[in-house]
Amino acid sequence: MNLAKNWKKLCLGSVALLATVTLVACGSNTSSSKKSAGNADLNKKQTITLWSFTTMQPQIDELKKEKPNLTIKQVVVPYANFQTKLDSVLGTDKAPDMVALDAGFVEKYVQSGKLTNLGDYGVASAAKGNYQYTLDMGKDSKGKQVAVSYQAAPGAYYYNTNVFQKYLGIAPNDVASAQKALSSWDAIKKTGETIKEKSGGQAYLFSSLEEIYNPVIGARKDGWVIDNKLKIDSSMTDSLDLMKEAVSEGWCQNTIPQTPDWYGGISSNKIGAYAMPSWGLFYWLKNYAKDTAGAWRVTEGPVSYSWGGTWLAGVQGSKNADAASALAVYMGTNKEFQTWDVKTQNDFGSVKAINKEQGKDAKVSLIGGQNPYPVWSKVADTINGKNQTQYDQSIQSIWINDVVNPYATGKVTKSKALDTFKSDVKSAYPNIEVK
Amino acid sequence: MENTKKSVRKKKSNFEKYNRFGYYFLIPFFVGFLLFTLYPMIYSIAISFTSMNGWQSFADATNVGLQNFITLLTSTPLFMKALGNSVMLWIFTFIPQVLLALILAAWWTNRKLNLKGSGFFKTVFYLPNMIMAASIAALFGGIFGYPTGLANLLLQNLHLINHPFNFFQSVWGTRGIVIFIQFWMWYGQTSIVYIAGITSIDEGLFEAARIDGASDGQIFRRITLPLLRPIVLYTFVTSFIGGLQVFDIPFIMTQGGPQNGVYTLSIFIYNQAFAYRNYGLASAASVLLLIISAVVSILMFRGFRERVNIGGEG
Repeated sequence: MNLAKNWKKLCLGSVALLATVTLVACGSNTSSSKKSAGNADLNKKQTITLWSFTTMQPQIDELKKEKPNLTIKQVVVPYANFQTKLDSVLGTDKAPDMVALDAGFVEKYVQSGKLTNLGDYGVASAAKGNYQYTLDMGKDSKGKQVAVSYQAAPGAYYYNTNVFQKYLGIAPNDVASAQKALSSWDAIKKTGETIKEKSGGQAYLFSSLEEIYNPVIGARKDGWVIDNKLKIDSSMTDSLDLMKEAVSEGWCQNTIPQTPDWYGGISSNKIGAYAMPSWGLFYWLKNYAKDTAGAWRVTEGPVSYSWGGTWLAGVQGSKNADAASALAVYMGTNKEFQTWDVKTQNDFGSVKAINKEQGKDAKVSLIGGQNPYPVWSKVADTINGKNQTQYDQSIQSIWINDVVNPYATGKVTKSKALDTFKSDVKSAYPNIEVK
Repeated sequence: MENTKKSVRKKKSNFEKYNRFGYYFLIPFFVGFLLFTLYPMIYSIAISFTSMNGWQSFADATNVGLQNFITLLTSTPLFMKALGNSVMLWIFTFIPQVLLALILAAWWTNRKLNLKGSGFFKTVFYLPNMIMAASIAALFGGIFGYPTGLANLLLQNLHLINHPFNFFQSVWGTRGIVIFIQFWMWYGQTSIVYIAGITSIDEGLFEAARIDGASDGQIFRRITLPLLRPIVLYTFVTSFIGGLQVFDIPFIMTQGGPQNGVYTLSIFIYNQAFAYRNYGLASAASVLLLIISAVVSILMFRGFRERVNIGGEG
């Protein structure tokens, strides 16, 4: 009798409990401007939360050795969701202390005004030996250094000596001649035509159009937006015709980059060269070279560009912003940490002298024992880091989808493609002036 | 006299007590609905009247009235293209989907045919609906890859084409693939809904028709289809609302496809909101999507009701 009587109340109670559970998920959205109580001493016992888009566990383990009192809690958010998740917490009390920012979107956060000024943490003097382009990319429009990179990522051409020897007659260790064949866009065109001719259309110089447009975009003099006006650098429109010829004359296979067909060409001995960043050597080339391992060489190509790299920054108003900012500067400039990173992680670090030191006698078997560091250093010294804007990721993808791919495959005329590009950029960023 | 009055009052209050509990049990649903559906919807509609973008919060945003809607409808060709794509993709998906689902439903509910293993086949046909869109998109991306995807190898081996065809650089190639995937994912679910509809029709009607000597085709056309009309209407409306919001397949495969060929309305809204961070425009586009869905649904229901009133046949 008792149970029956209280049954309803029991049910009601449990339902009410379940209802409150749904409300627990609602968080608070206060934008706090708490000033950190702690100072920027990394030797003090403290915890820093770090949000990254790829695991940085090796770096964290090394930092535990170098700064034992520092605890770093890493939250890895996959690249595809990283920005949307970070955008929703920046400026609230759920924001992490430190963020790792990929080159593709670093400018957006640098210009956001939500990162700490690393100048207060001694970055100016500490980063004197860093590559200029990495520093330029981490400076906001007022010239404040708000992010610093701990890796540099110069781009270069990795070419297959089997293909170059067979169709161009270039000996495997004659990197100078290979560089000559890739020294300018005209030379590249001739090289591509020769390969196609000599192989009867079976082999190609490039697998995808990315081999052309990534260097071109990275080497621009002007960025996409200057003084709030859309600017299409002249090198971009010039490259369109080159890419169209590459496809129509058949020396570019026109695969979609970073798909199985693009990777597959690495081991096929049918593709002459790939445009890859320094980390592409140990990441893509290593995984997909298979039987062609040892037959590859690296050379700088016609222009200097960068592709990727990770910048670190402290988040304003977070619980431990001071320590996070100091840590960012540390990771980007400290001799001990950088040396460890370059030595053990196959990274191309951000400090010139350390790369030179470590790269003195490096021999990478994947590229037949060649030392890639001189090539990378040469490129990294001349990369233009001032052509980046916070609109880059979107505008670049609109450029490739609206202009490069349709025009190169002959589907639209150049003027129509550029008109579509301009109207899509206008609808994406109504505040930019588009003529 | 007083006793009965009291007992009546007691019974009444017991009844009211039962009533109250019903409402109490409904409260969690309403709380959830208010917080997670109604409030965000009203918030979005509010944002659509502002020019909120980038790092601004709602408090910082400036009110622009109907400007977002005007911009979308008059000076954003991409929006009109996205809308056109969504509707076109839906039409090409829905028609084969309904036809095949009707045929399958007719076969499975046919007493004379008495198909064996219908349970197994129903499961198999429904399965595509349960696979995650990301996996399907990756799978088809690999199959139709250029130049060594499975489809290209197969077509070349069958000597149907001489050179590999770049499906994802061709507007109609990509559209065809997206249409096929949508059709393949949904025809099983639609056919099961139709089976449920057919089995709910009174058996007596079929018996009477058979006794009168009607053929299968006549039974299907004259009895099944007209009585199935409310169910077909249901699938039409739900498919339209879902079809306007197709996002995952075209986005994961080609981010809107070659020359924005499969750039759907949802991709437009997603890019505006999360890539370009124009929350005002994205919310305005969402409101327009809501209005279109509501208007078409109302028109469909209105049209159906008129038919029934006139006599049920049409």
